[in-house]
Amino acid sequence: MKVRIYTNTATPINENWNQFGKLISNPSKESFKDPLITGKPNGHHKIGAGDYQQDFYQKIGIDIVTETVFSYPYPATTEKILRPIINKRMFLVVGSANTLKFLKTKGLQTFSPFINETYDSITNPVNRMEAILAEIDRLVTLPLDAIRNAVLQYTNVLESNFTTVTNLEKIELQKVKERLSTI
Amino acid sequence: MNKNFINTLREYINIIDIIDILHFDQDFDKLMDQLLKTKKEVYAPKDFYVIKHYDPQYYLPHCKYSLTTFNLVQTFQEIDISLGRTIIVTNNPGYLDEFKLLIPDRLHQYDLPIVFDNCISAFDNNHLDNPKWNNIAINNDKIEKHALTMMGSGRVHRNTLYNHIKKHNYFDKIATANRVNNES
Repeated sequence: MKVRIYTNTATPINENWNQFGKLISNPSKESFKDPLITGKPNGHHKIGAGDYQQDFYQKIGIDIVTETVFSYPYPATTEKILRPIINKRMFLVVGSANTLKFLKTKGLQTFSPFINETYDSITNPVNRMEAILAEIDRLVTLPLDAIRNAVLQYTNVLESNFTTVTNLEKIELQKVKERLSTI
Repeated sequence: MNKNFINTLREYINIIDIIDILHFDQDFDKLMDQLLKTKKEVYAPKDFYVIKHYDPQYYLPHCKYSLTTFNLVQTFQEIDISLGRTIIVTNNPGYLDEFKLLIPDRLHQYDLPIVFDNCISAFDNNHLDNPKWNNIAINNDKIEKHALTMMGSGRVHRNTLYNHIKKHNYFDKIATANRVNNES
């Protein structure tokens, strides 16, 4: 009989870096749902994986994407990062280190220098989070017109990313075929 | 996994079974039972189990492989099926390295799985095979807020971001959806 090891099902995923202290006061009883997203305050509209709601995406400049994992050894991406790309908006990723680096390997482009993306290469999760929060602080102090202008400034990038994503399946399947043909 | 990806695999291999790790990550005996139903005395060169690996894994501090990977290797060894008969589709780039740590070097030629670790389109919840979205024209006329953030299941990094937004009262700048469920 081989040994297997399990965690308690309620074990948070790799959050052994709980060093934020006061920053992690328990918000579990608080819930804020912006009417811009839900259509009404404190609504319960579910924003699901395939529910790309383009109307409200038109009303924002940057998607602060909170990926599934943060303190994690891989730049694991999910449908969350695809939402701003599909909706042609800029994004900042609260996720694993090197997530932007991984996206670039897929032919996607990001938004430096308008967004300071040095956080992406910071492997220490505490330092990376601090860098992300600092960048959010900077971005929200910009005039809204600066955000609007940046969206236009990065039009080529946004269009290119959309095209890249819509062609991604074809490219990836071709690589799968090439690998499997060697079996 | 999306049907186009599976159909492509079927062009090249015989899929014995499709295994979603999420269904077994808390009880690998269930996986063993499932494997026993399809185990063969002899596998043809193109016989493969396809393993979907999409959800987060748990890592012990300073350990280079996850508990899921460890349990997966243990289970296949216990039932005496080579991991060389598996194709793992994962969103963890570099995932093969974990198997290299757990399987002895002398067995790497035959017992390492084939790993597709950078196929974003392989997973059906990414909807790249059947998009529901339109190619919208870029405009900035409707922008009302600097940013948007949508937080699903509660996790420390989301709580931290939410608390930061709340502490600085950025709600008028950042459209925020917080669906905390006491998970973290």
